[in-house]
Amino acid sequence: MEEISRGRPELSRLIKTGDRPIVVAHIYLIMEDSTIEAERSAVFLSEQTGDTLNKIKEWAIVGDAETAKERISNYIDAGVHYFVFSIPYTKSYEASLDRVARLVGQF
Amino acid sequence: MARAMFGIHLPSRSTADFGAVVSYAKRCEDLGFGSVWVADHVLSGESGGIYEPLTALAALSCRTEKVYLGTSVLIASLRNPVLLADITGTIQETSEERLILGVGAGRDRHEFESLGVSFEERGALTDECLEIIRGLWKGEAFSFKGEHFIVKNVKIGAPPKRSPIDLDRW
Repeated sequence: MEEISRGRPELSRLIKTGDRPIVVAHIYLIMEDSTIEAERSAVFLSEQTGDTLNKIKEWAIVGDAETAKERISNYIDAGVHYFVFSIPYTKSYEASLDRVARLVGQF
Repeated sequence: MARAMFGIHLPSRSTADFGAVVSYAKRCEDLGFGSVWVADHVLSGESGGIYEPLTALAALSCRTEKVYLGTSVLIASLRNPVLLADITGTIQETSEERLILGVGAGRDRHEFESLGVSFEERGALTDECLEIIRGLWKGEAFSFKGEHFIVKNVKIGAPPKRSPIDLDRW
């Protein structure tokens, strides 16, 4: 399978040279086939944090693949090149990993 | 422009068998993600507890081959910095230099109180911890005198050949 971690060589270079800083964005990613499904899946975050859905959308990526791609692109345009995604831990967790892998493979 | 690198924060819940965590980490590696990460909460919360992150990463280091292994984030000030330097040096070796040490100051007062660490001074404690860890990672005799820690001519047992990546401004 094609390597998604295209940044690995750069990370290795950073280790060698000690260049700083590394900017990493740790983001909740709730991506489903449709935005409505994603919003439904985001309910648990609302229960955990007390934030409304609109508020959650400010600090998490909630939506379909197109929405997620657009949001990630915005981060990249802002200079972020390292991402850590938290995705909901459900019975279909591995399927979610596959979906996210397909998404980030586009970058 | 540099290419983006993507990692996955693993659900390292102790209510699940650790084999599941290993399975997810290997799956991430197979899918080509560059890194997997685990959180740090010493105490069990409302939704249960999680595996101790450095122990978990030590185990994952022996069950994966390529993926970088990170903490997101480790509350450094809850741990002795000399011991932390030695443990992370060891993981850097067992992982063949794949450790990323993400460090945070912490936000759970109860955890600090439970471990007898000052919540109010956690920022300064973290700063001193990082200075000591970085000094000890060099593998030479190291001394440090701060407000909270004093280290005299110490050389840890397992200094990393190459320092882990440390992310101290998470």
